[in-house]
Amino acid sequence: MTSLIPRALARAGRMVDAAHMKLKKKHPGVFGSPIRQNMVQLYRHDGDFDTVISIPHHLSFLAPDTNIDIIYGIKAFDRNGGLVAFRKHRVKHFETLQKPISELLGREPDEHGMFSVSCHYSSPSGIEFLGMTSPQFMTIFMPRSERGAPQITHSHKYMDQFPPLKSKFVRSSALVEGDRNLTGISYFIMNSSQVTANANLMLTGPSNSFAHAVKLNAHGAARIDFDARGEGPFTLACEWDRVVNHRKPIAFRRFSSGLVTAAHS
Amino acid sequence: MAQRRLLIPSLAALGQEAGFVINVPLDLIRIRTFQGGKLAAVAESKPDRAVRMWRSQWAPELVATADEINTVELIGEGLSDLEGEIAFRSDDQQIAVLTGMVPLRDPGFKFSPILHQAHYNVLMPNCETYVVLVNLACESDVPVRPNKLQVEIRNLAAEVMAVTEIEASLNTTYLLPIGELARRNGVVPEQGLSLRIRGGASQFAVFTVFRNLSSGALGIEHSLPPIYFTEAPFNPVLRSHYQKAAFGDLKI
Repeated sequence: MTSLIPRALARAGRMVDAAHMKLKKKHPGVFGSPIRQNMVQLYRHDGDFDTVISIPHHLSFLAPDTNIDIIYGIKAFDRNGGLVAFRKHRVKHFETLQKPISELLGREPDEHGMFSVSCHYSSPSGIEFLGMTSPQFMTIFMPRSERGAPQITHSHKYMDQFPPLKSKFVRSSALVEGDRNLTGISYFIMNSSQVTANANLMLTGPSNSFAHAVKLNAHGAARIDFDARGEGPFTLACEWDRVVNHRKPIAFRRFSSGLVTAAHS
Repeated sequence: MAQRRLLIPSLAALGQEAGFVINVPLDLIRIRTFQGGKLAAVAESKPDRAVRMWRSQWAPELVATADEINTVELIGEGLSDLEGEIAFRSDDQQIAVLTGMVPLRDPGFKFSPILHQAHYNVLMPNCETYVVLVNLACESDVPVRPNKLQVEIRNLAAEVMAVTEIEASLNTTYLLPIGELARRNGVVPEQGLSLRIRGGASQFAVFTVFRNLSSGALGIEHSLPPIYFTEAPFNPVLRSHYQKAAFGDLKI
């Protein structure tokens, strides 16, 4: 019975959201453009990497004959889920917003954490044929080391609109790690929801396995370092106690050359 | 039903060996290597659950070329939404990216042009950004007709700095170094650039690679095609209006 109420609430929330989007599609002049947004991603602002966010004026490419300003909102949280800052930026037709996260926020963020990107359009006119749109972006991790290369991940899942169901589930990554020069992997995990969530990361190798449990505050993030060395193969599974939207920890692999490369898991 | 394949570009020009990882039970993996646009080798493997293979293992008799592509066909049950891992390695590092699979089309299939927003470029004296265009038209097509694409270069303030064309031959990998292309067109890359790439007549997978020119270190990610930004390309009611808006002025 206790699980039925949250499930019913979640279903009702999704239905309300779908109805809202339907109204927006039908009457964008009244209800605003239908935009699926608040996508999240990791930032790093530590001794190894800084973060640059690259956001295109996406309507320019999809509907080049229009001339609509897009107002992007960038919100960042510290690793404990505390709000660092929320700043808006107006971007004109065919412009690109690409800057370090500290410039976009107007202040220094935490060493790592989660950020989200939202937007609204200065006009809903002329883009009805695009239907539902979404402000996607790229996150560039700029190495502090002169020898390193920038690493990059695309925007990921949406921030949870409603508190996710309390229900255990395991997500296994398709990414398989291992290299003769691999000396370790750091995983960064984010809680895209507005309630505390618990996760258990399990990295399984041919001769040994690693596990690390972590409690993530609402909108919080955590770094977990595994001493995974050599060819592996190492496979990652993450057990959550809630059905959060974002389930893909970002992997940063370290090699004996000193280089670090990243990918979402 | 269209057969789907993992499409692996060559980064041999950047000193990297290509590979892939599949982490599901399979009956068979078939790997095809195309060089100069033509099928040059076919290898088959019956793998364990997690298989990692490198180019030197599946076509050791062929020297890897800059223009080659490799396709990985998976045979087994329940593989419709499968992601594959494409990897590249050198003595110093390994990079990898999870990506979807592309359909193999019948001969004569009419492909829609592609639209790639290359807005995320890192262009510094010691860093180059490559757009990696890998395409597969059809195994039996003779690779003679070119894939013409228009490249529009803007600065971050939206001013058009140059418009040019590139030709990516069928069934090949094409590396587009953005900094180098900009300089060839009299544009200073360090100011920050955004590219709009449109055209082509093939099945494309597009990646972006960052390269530290001093150390050779790399970073990689797959592109975000328009379907990530709008539902229009897959919505039968909206598609034609979208195609006209996005490509109506394109003359190549």
